[in-house]
Amino acid sequence: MITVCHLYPDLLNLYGDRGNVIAFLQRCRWRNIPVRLIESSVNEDIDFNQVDFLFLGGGSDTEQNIISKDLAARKASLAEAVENGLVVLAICGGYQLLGKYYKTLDGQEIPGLGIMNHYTVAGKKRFTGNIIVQLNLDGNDYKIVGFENHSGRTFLDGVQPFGKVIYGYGNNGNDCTEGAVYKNIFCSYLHGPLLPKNPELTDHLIKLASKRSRIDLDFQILNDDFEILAKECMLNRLL
Amino acid sequence: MLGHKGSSLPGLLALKIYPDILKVLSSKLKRGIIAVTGTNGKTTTNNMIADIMRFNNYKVICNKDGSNMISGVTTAFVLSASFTGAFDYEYAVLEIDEASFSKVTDYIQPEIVVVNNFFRDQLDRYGELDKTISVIQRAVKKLKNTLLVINADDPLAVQVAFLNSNRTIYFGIAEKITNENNTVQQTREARFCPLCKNRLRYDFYHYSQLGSYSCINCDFRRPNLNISASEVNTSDKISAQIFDEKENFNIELNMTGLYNLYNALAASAVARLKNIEISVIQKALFEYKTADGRMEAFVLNGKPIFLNLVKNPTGFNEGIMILEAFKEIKNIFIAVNDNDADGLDISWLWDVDFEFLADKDNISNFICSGKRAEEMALRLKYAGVPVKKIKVIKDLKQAVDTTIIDNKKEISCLFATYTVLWPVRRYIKASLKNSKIKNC
Repeated sequence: MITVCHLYPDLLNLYGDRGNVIAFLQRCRWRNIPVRLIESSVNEDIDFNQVDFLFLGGGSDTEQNIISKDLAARKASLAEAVENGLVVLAICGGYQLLGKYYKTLDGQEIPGLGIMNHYTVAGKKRFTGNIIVQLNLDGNDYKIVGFENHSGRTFLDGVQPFGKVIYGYGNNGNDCTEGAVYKNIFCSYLHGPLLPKNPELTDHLIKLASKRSRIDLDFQILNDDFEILAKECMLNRLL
Repeated sequence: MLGHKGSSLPGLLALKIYPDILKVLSSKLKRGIIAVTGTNGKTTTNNMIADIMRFNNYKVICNKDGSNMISGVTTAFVLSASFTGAFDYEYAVLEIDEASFSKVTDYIQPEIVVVNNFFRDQLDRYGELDKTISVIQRAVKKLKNTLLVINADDPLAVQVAFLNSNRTIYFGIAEKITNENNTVQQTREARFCPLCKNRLRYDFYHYSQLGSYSCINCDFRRPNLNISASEVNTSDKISAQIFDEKENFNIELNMTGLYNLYNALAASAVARLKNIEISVIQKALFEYKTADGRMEAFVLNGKPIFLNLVKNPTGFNEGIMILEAFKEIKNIFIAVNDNDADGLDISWLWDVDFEFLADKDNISNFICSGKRAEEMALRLKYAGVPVKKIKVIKDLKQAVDTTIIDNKKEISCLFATYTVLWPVRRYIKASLKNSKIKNC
């Protein structure tokens, strides 16, 4: 049984990100892979060692402030699970929170969890728009399509990027990197949401999660006609 | 704003020539300005208020067609002034876009401001919801003599009044609605106290964050209702008993949807503040016809077609709930554009509970159209809708035809985002005209 945990679904639910959880669950179900969803919020106990795939979305400043204390209290158990292969997808605010800090416009450094070494600095201009990223998964190159909307500029400080920007701003509008990766943690600024139009990424996460939950898979190939149509609509428009 | 329905051009030109024109024209009004802002229901509430006032023989300007940015509001005034600039109006009833509220109220001081609700709307236009609300709340500080009419059932709207000292009238629904289908797991906005950020407890719950709430930590709670609705029925048409601390009266509306009851309550509250007679209010509301694309109804070959504008998850979810009320076999059409006015980012579609429609035997086809038709189809696939029911038809006319010309179905339900609504509507009306000519 693959255990999926959606953390703070009522607070970090900015803009369709729950679609990532929907995409992961459906692609498991369509393959008859046993999967279950746990939702966990502030002051609710969760053992990350029992979780195979963790999703952390983004929220507005108010919500992120509410959860950051709660998340800080879980840091040790989360870090341990990450070292043991917990698969994590962190979008936007979730991505920022996993890093060292977020520096506001007036210079205040708000500490993140520090599980990864990236850090984020607030900017005046907002990076908004459709984005195309080149992603390498298991030696194959894929084009990933999404929509970014962030005023934070993230700098990787040695962390491996998620992908290379082909169209759009990416982490900071400067170094053509998008997102960040560490062990089985995948971080990105891409809304869309990220997974539905990019099934190759969803399937990659499912494979990693099933390894962790020790499910031996005969990995069935699904019909992705609709996914391909939706992605190509944007690739044709932007490129 | 040019190039789609929603007429702002005259206002844009006037503003260039005479920047204070809004200030000047509004000062010529014989009585005053009533403004409506918030996320959903502005146009309907605004139009209901205007209708009630006109039934009461007031001369009213109203920006009826939803063009509500600062240029649209100015246009409403400019179009109403005659050639010599003579101006004969008593009231202006204006809907004002949340993002424009602060700027518009630099030029005009409404005597009444209605705040309907706040829901997540297109984030890439307005930025975050908290920011939008606080900008409005601060703008109200400039309006010290303005009376606020606030939806008490929405903690976010109440916040605007709480943090100001204006005289406020609160409207809301007095009791839990038992015939409203609450199985849709809807996008919840603030379940947290806007003042101290602790959890809100709900005694009962209508939809999104609307209901009867109190903070577990501080004194923030749903205020007492100055005007309330009870004995609510929204199953076919809307009917309710309204009580406003002086009188009891019933209203009937020729439309469905709980949100329309809120719109009518807001309009009734404004009308009672202006001492308009109950019989006038009842008549105006009863005869109110929904604005273009706000659950607009057509009939083709004896079968109904419903056309609905969708802008955000809450509005779309309400539209889906209304579908539930019709047991007949239906075709569903969803057209999604991602132009500026629609919102460039269509991620919000994943916050709409299409899962609710996945296993309905009485839905024949889901026809997806518009610039992002493929993405809409993808959403439906992941919502569990059987793939054979999902059709992507980019050509708008062909998509509409496939939806409405189909003898196997009884009802057509069309949903469209803003910029694709108008061509769809034009085509439906043209099709109706042609079919009438054929039937002659």
